[in-house]
Amino acid sequence: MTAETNTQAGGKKGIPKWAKILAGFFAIILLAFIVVSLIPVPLEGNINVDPRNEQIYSALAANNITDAAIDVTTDRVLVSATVPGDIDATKVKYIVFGAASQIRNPPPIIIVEVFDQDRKLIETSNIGISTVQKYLTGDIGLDELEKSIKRV
Amino acid sequence: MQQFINMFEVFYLRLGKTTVSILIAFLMVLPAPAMAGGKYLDPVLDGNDEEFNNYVNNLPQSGEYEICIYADTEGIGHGFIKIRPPGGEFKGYGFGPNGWNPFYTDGIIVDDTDHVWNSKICYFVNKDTYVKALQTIREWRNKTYTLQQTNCVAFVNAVVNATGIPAPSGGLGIPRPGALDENIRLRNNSVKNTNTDKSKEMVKDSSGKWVPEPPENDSSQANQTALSKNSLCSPDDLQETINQQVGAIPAEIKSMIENKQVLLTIEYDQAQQQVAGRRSDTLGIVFQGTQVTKIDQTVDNPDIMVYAKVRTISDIFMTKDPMVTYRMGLARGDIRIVHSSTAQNILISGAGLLNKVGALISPSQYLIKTGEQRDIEIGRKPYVLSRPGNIILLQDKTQPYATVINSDGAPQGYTTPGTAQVIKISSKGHSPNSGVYMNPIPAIQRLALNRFSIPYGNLVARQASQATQYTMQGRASNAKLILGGVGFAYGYGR
Repeated sequence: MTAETNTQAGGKKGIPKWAKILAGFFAIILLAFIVVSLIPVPLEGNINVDPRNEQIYSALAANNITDAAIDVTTDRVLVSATVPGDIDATKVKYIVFGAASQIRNPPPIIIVEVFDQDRKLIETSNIGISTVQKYLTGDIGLDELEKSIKRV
Repeated sequence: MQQFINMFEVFYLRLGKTTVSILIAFLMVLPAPAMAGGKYLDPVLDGNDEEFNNYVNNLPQSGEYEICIYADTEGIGHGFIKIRPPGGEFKGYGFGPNGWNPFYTDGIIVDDTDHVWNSKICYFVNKDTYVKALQTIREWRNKTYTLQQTNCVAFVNAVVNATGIPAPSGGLGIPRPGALDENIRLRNNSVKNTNTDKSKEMVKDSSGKWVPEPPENDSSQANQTALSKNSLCSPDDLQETINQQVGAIPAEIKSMIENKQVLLTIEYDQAQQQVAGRRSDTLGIVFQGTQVTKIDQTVDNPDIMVYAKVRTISDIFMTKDPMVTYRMGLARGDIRIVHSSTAQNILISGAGLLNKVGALISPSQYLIKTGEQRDIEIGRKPYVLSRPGNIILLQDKTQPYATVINSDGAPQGYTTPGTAQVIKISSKGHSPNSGVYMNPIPAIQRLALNRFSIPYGNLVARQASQATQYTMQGRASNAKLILGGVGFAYGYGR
């Protein structure tokens, strides 16, 4: 009994208190390191500029239409533009149609929203890209092209 | 010009606004004459395969074809070639980056006919050899540009290798203009440019001696591409850029790199790996004090190894606030630093942990909520930071455009505040990429020079190239619009 007690007491003496505290401290540091490593640091706003957006934008920018958001996806070309004072909405629309029909891998539909200087919506139209391409190749005339434009 | 305006007004009133608008808008898709930007189109760069083959077949079977190798070591160095069919004019071709990131981006072949140069060497070849050079130029139209491998001098080397001409190379290791220049000068038949204006050619006088080009033959300056002037071509340029910016490097980084050899591993993402055919590239950077004295593919005894994603490296180069981008990249694990000393590694790990805790507790100042707007200062210059929708905008109040940034402050593209407003009021659900452009308007092209002067020239050259390409194919030129007979607007490339 006495010998057992002595062994237990001796065992306790083998790991000093300060060592336990230090080990605990390092364990906490290690744990904190692991926890902190697992928390993701936020990254927002990464964008991959689509050159097709820029291609259409360049046609508008060359005509002084600089406040224009071009958004080409697999489904549609969406263009929301503010017309400068000296250009009418129809012209903006046709510039968009012409430029959008020439981009690489064009989606089937072109949607154009035209706003005035006060950001009021003038017109929203859409047309199939194949229709525009047919017009460009001379397969259809201007009348048919105009009839194919759907005003929303 | 007034006559044109009057004619247009009559035309406009008689036919009606709508019809004229339609005609005007579609003028751009009519087959245009084979000119763009005042220069005839190049079947080598702009022609489709059929047009290129026709061009090659029509070249004379015999005669003196000429291929010249040029080195430019003025400022941002460059290497390029000029070629000439029998009786034809010299045409210059150079390779450069077609995007912001000099470490990995789309490449582009540009017209370097009027590029500045220091030394050149020329070879007369037969038609077969000449055609091999043309084919190599065409192949390189779609190459990826990397400063550390497929750079401007690598293109010259590729032409030399394909043709088998005994021309000098751009040196061992990473191809560089300085080495190309030295190797050209070692040859007996090399020509040194003694013109004051280094874009001028040297011509042979009646005694066969090379002399500066007479003024009447001067075709220089007008069409020199900004790409060639502004883009980084080789590690020499990178070295110069880093040394110029050394004052802006924070003390903690300076103390880390001082007198050290750094091995930077540039890591590609999966898509890039597929294109490049390798997972990473390395750059060995030797610092003496805090000045870079050498950059090559590797270093003998690296003290520090830095592993970084290629986009993160580019972001650090491009941003106005590199320390934020660096710290966030470090906290995110996109940059990892390993020291040769264990003690240093423990310190680096501890500092990294503290950096990450700091990044979590106090995120980047550019991480703002949608609808928020505040004034901030970067390098003592005032900016407006806002987030009207998905995108984060950083606007210098004196400029007509805003830089679209990510939450680390790294530029993503440009837009106009008006464009951001249009997206906000649109009911159609724009995607995050909507309305963000690398190069919105000519005014922005001029103003958007970043501190490393990388994007402007690349974009101008690229757009000019696109314009010629579209015109060549008889399709809509994105850059060339005839606006109602009143004027000729060449949106990009000017």
